[in-house]
Amino acid sequence: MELKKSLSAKFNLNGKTIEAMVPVGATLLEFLRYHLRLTGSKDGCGEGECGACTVLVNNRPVNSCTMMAVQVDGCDVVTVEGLAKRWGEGDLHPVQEGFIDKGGVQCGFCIPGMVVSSVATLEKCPDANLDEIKNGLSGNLCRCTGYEKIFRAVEQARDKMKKKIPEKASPKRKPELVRV
Amino acid sequence: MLEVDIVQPKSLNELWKTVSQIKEPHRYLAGGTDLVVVAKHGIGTPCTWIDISKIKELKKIEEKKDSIFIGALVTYAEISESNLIKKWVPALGAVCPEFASPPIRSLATVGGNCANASPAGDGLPALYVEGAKVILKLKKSAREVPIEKFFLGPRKTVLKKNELVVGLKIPKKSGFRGTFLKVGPRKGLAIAKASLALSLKLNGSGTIQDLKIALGAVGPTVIRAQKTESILCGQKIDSSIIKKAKELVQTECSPITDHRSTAEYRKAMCGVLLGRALERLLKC
Repeated sequence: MELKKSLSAKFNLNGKTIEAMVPVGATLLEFLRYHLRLTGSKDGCGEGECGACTVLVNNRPVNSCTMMAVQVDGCDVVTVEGLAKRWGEGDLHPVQEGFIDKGGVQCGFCIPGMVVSSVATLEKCPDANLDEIKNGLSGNLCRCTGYEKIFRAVEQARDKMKKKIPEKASPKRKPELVRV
Repeated sequence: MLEVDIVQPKSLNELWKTVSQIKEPHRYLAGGTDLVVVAKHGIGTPCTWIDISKIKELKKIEEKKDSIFIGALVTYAEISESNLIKKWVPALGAVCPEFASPPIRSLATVGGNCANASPAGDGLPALYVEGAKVILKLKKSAREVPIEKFFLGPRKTVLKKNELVVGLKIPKKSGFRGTFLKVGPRKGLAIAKASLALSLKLNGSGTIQDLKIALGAVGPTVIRAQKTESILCGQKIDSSIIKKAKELVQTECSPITDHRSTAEYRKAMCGVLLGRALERLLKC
């Protein structure tokens, strides 16, 4: 068994084009955390049940712990580290600001996944009501907060994001090539 | 790191040229939401995974004259967004909000749901009531298997070695409503304790002209509740016939007691789910 085999993959990551040799046995989460040193996405359950590892692949939320890293070839991947740049204004994405302003963070472990899932929900559904926000977060577990302040955070972000010109919210920048 | 090798054919042609040379054991990988999770527990590895996720021919939902084609790689997220599914395969559309979670729906494919053949697979009862046929290909040969003949038991299907589910063919039926409900330990991310799909057509005077009922997670594979179908078919629906149907459907399932639930509870839930499904479809 050639355990050390790697396949080449070319994909967009947080706005940059990456060409990399990806070990075939690695999940996307392992590749992001241990090879690319993007440790924002967390390993909670490793089984796709808690959502702490949530990233965006082709604008959809995905449990990176159940996706094999080689499968991102040709895809657009966004992690929590890339959200501020995706929004394109200021140091934080409005969802991140919401979590800070509304006190939606306790231990912090679930938060990157919560933030990414919420970004996906609001980009798809800018007028999301509370039920839709909750549905969007139905794959993310939190053991600390009881969720209420997380919902308030996402509602604040929704209201702020609605005020912005729609075009700026989706990235159409020309990506730079980076070899890893 | 998993003990796997991965090969990535770019097309069905490339797959058929190379599949016989791929080292054994090998399995098809699509969304990975079942395969990767069990592999993490050491089940099914070492293995070579044939990653078919980039094969574009399997990724479409197409309207044909008499049927809808759903490619095997269509995800449940895409199913939930499809107007064609909403119109022609409503029971399958109703599965999506009950299915796992949004991140899993982004990756989980209909083809994988079928090939995995879990007795509790959410999409399966809906495919039964919508009259789906599973389209299988192996190199130059192709066959269509009615979904009711596709499953042989828990995690067992009629798939031959290297044969691939390429899609589902759903006959267009006009005037049918469809829905799906399940009961689990919580609202989301829950394996069903019992599930039910219902497809029915009413005629002008409010009588059920045609219907299909399928039960999930209460037997080794999906069960069509045919006795219950026959007492409801041709009937004007009132509370006494619904009560009879809810009692009869409980006799048509054969659930087990396991760590998720007891047989008694699952039986009882079949009746409850039928009542809720009828209420949902007859209201609108």
